[in-house]
Amino acid sequence: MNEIMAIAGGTWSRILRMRVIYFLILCVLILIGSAYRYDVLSLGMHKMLMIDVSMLLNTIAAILVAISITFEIPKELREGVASTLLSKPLGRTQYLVGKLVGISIAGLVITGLIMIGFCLVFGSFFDRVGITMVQGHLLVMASVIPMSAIAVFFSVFVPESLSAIITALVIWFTHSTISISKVKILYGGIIPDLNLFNLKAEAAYEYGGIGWVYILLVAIWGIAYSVFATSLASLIFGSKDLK
Amino acid sequence: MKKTTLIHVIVMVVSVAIASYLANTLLKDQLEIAKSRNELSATPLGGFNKFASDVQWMFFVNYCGKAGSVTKDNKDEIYKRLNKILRNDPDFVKAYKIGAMMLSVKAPIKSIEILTRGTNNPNLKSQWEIPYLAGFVLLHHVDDAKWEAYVDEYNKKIEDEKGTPKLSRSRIAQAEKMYKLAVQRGKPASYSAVASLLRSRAMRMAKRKDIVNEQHAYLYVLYDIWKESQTENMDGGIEGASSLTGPIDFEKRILSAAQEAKASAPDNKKILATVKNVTAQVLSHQHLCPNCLSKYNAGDKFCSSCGTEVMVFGACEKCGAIMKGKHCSKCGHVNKK
Repeated sequence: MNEIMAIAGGTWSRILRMRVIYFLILCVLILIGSAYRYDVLSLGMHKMLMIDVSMLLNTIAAILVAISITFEIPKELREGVASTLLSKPLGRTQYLVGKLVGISIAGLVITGLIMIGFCLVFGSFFDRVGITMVQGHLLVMASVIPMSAIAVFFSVFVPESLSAIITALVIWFTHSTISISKVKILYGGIIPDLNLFNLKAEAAYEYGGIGWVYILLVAIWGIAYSVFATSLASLIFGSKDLK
Repeated sequence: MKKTTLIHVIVMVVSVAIASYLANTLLKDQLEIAKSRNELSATPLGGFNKFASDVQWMFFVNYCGKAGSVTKDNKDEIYKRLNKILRNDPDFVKAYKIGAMMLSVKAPIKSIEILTRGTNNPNLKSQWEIPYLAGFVLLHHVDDAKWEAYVDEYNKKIEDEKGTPKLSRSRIAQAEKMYKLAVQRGKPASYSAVASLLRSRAMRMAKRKDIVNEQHAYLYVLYDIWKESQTENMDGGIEGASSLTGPIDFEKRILSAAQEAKASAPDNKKILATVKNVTAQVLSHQHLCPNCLSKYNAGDKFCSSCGTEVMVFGACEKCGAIMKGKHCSKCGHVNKK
């Protein structure tokens, strides 16, 4: 457990110490605020546009944070960082879990900052921030965990140059897995359904609340799926010969 | 098998079972929250369908601005763009209203198709304007032959779809259905929707053998609604008849309808019979000229509109002054009646 938290701590603190992250968050908030100027071009739909832009940019930020792990793991293996841990029994599992936890925490902080920034920006232009908008953003935050797990999975056996692209493509297409929902064990179990986190339209239209129980269960699904993906990644990683 | 591998496999099996169970449960919950999810485009946009719809909308606004007006050359392009916007965001109310009205003259059937989709959307049940506009376009811009051809094709297409209501082959009946929905969805019902519903009902009723013309039909419709609101009978008629009498000045309207009906065929027995029933039951408290049904005031001996002699009321029997109370203010007489 200590090793896991040490790796996690190193991962998230390194990411969150990068000033460019905060500069990018600022750029995101400026883009969100700029949607207000589209009132004429959108025929008065600028409020909705601002909400949609915020969800879009928050999701992209979550994806980018998750994908960053596909560069980090191969780089550390190449440099021999944590080689002591990797040679221990269950050391590779602890390493991957530590990385997953670290990147998830960093992702939650970054998406959380974007959500808070959106609430401030939106609140300054319009009357109030609806609770469903916040719930929509919370779902985006929760999606960081399974996306990070997917990234960890591909980073252990796909070459470095391809793992980021494949991870991005998989994340993109797993938002559309409803077509295989009839195959019960396959759907949402082996193949993830990230579309469960996608209630962006409903959050924007404020139909009547998304339900905290739904958000909690989706977060639990994300954790359960991450456990599966990380265990599988660990099995593959364990059999891999590190040079 | 090594111990660590066994642990990994057990953890994987347990976690995939939990994830699979949760995903299947959550999918059902999600479809209850996102009722129009089934209408969404199948194009994989990474869950960014709504944002894509916003961008397409702005391009659409830009395109329409450049085009200036809807013509035969650009109507298909406008429809195509609108369709894409609504496939990515089936709850986009403005797109339904503005887009459909843009197409209403040059491509009315396509306009109806879009508005029907909006009407059937479970998330838009509170939007009364969408079915109202559908009824309007049906009555003003569509002809019967094209409508019937479209309905046959549409009903065949949705035969296997449960829950999607079929369209009526009669254009007027379908318009009436739409107006009825508009009245039911507006809380309170809008004046325009109520007035349009009554008119469309009259248009349909005008085809009956016992109805002389449209004016007679309209009077008959108003009379039916009045009777329903009196008996509070909701069966078979328009639900909540009192919700129809509220938004419009009902008495004024039925009086005007009676006047129009009588003027359209002054000697027709059927019309006269209906007018008699209406004046006796609905307008019994009003003093109306027996010839032209115009109101006359206390003390009047002749109608000011047509000159017909009327039954005097509210005047002193002795001196003819207007009664302001029990005793005449001019001579102190108390009327016997």
